[in-house]
Formats: sequence, structure tokens, C-alpha cells
Amino acid sequence: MRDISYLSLGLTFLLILAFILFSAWQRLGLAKDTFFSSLRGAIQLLAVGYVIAYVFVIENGWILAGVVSLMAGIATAVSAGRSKRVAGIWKLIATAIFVSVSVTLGLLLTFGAIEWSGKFVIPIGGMLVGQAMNNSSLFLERLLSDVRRNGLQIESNLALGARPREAIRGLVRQALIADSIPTIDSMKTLGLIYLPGMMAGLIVGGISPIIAVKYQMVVIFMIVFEFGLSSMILAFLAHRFLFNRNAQLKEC
Amino acid sequence: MIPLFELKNVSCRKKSPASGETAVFHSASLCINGDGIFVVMGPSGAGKSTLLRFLNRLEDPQEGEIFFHGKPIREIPVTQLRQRVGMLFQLPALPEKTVRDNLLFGPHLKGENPADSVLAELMRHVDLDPGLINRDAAHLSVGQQQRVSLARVLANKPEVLLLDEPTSSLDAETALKIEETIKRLVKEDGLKAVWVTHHADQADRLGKNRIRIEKGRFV
Repeated sequence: MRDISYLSLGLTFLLILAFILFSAWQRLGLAKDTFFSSLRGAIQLLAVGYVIAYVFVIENGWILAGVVSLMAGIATAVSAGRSKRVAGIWKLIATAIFVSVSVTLGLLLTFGAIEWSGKFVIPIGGMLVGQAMNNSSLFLERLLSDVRRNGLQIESNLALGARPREAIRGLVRQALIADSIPTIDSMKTLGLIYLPGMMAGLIVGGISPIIAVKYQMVVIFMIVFEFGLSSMILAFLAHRFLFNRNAQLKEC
Repeated sequence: MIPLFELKNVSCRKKSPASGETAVFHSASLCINGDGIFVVMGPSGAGKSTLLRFLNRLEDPQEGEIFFHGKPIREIPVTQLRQRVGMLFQLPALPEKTVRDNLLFGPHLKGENPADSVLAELMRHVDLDPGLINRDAAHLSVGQQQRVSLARVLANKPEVLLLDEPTSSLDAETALKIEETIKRLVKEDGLKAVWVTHHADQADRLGKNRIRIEKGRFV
């Protein structure tokens, strides 16, 4: 397959610089974060490129579980970094990511959709961890912002004798709906507007389009299932981190 | 006679962005009897709202003890206490639901499902047109929303009503109407009320059973 020259690669980085300039011009406050995130992402990808050949041949279950756990741990730290003001929120995010990734991977292995080897478990596990991380970040971003804006409404509910879960039920529902929009929209446009990453990668790599479609369908089904599972965990447990044991709203 | 509420040596400090940590109450003690409307006066920031939040347990003091009918409120399950001690806030904050759904919120928590006729009666009780029952509460006028908030608390059949400057965001005419409604409820239904206000003329209209908070102490 044709290689990409470092010059071409460098030129594509200009696309990110264009966004950084736009962000600085509009004072969005995203320039620094975008620059360092893209640089970090590029370095991480290069590093993975060098080690992936070794990782993909791993068949030892403990090592594979360790690699996926490491990815889940990093994802937890990144997502929790967005909600630093809520003490212990990393426990909620870790639960959502670890449980949803483990259950989904376990089911895929049980159904025989993927094999217990590095070349399947690592990329699929990575996709699942990434999806669960995005889900946690989006859900909590929306929920915490709604909780800050609607403190009086929540306390009005508490003052009537509502338990914390009941006091924020409406806000949790709104956060779940908002959180589900990208997943549902991407399913609606599947194949019509864009060819999803895995399928495009397999076709470019020379795999039959039908086999690529089958893999992509597995990916989509697992992502929807995992989205539902991680959302359910977040929705059921979020109140434990927003209220104290006396059903009083904490600062967040 | 056992007071309705009793505060013993209550202390509370809060963080203020301007002055760092400030004492809201310093070893303050108070008895609130259950005779009609008990008025709490004081300047802004004196701790009036904090007092009501203590009584409903939306906050707890760092030191001291609060009693309800002679029992430490920390020993009463918090949701039970809040169902008995309702609270109406300065501003209405109703979810975007119909008036009916808002009124049913409290009863549903207790497994009750009052009929529309009961809700209509409740709405009339707070001078609210029962024809509004299917309207989105969040889209009513502020005065109507405050009446829905009052009816929402009353639907829970509380023993005591805590009122945190409930008329301060309303125009004079609507404020007087809400004031008259609550005075009538206290007189006719035997409801007990603790009413926070910083308006001396309103305090005069509400009665002589009152106390003033100044610099974290009851005077």
C-alpha cells in the first residue's frame, strides 16, 4: 500500500492549525487545548504504531485484560479531569467504563464475533473504551451544567421530600437524551453520508467489502449496546456523587 | 409546652468570595412556637434563609442542635421531615410540566394519587384558576407560578410552612394577594408558618410573633 510522506502528513497538520487560528480569532479559549491535544494524539499514535505489531500478537488473556484496563484507566482520568469539582466522580466514570467495556467485550467473545487475541481485543476494546469515555464526558458535562443552573428547582423537589434520584430525574433524562443524539444520528447516516472508520480501514486494507460491512455491523451493535449500558450506569449512580448522605445538594 | 422548633447553640460558617469564611450564626439559640405565623426579620445576608434551610435540612449547622417538636431533627428521616415541613422559596422554580404534574409531584412521592377534583380545590384555595391545570407551569406569569409553587407544597399536606421571602419577586398587588392567601390558610387550616421577610411593613401585617436576626444572633 502507498506510504504517506512526512511532508504530506505535515501539510495535513495545517488543517488543525487553521482551526487553532479560528479559535484564537474568535477567543473560544480552545486554541491551546486543541494544539496540545493534537500534538499529544500524534505522538501517542506514532508510539502505538511502533508497538502495535507486538501487541497484536498477544494471546495471553491476563496481558490483554491488563492492556484494556490500562486504556480504561487513562480514559477515566481524561473524562474525570472535566468534572474535577465533584469529589470522587472518577469512581462513577470508572464504573461506567470498566463495566460497560467488560460486559460488551465478554458478550462479543461469547458470541464468537471476535477472537481472544490482541489483533481483535485491543482495537475493539479501544473503540469501546473511547465510546464509553465520550459518553461519560458528554453525559456529565450536560448533567452538571443543568444541576448548576437548576439548583433551586432541585432543592424545591428535595424540600417536598424527594430523594436525590427523584429530585434530579428530569435532568438525568434530559442529559441522556442529549447524550444519545450523536450515537443515534451516526446510525441514521451510516453508509449514506460516511463510511465508518473500521469498515473504511478494512476496505482500504484490501478486505472484501462484505466482510468489512459485517465487522462494521458488529461494531455498531456493540457501540449501541455499550452506550446503553454505560448510560444506564451513569444515570442510576450519578445522584450518589451530587448529594451527601442527608440528601443535601453538594456544590458541583 | 414543647416548642415547634428549638435551636440550641447553633453555629455555622460559610465561605464568601469577598471576605473568605464568615460566621452566619455563632452559638445562636431560639425557640419558635407553633402559634400562627412566626416572622423572622433582618437585613440581607443576616442568615434568614439559612435558618429556614436548617429547619428543612437543606443544610445542617456545623455545631449545635435543632429540635422539631422536642426531637432532634437529625433523628427524623430527612424525607419524612421535609414532607412535614414544607418550604416555599423566594422565586418559583417549576419544572416544564403541566400544573397538574407539578401538583402531583409531592403526593406521588408518598404513593398518593389525588383526583383532579382535589387538585382543582387546592388551586382554588390558593386563588388559582383550576382551568390552568393542563397549562405548562413554567410558562405562567411569575405570580401564577408562585401560587402553583404554594399549591405544590400544600398538596403535600405539610404541618409547617417555611416561607423564604415568597413575595419579594412579585408586584405589590400580587404580593398582597399571596400574603392574604397564606394568612387565610394559617387561620382556617391551622397551618403553622415561619415567614422570612426584610420588609418591616409586611412583618407588621403578618403579626407580632417575630424575631430579628442581626450579625448571626437572634435579637
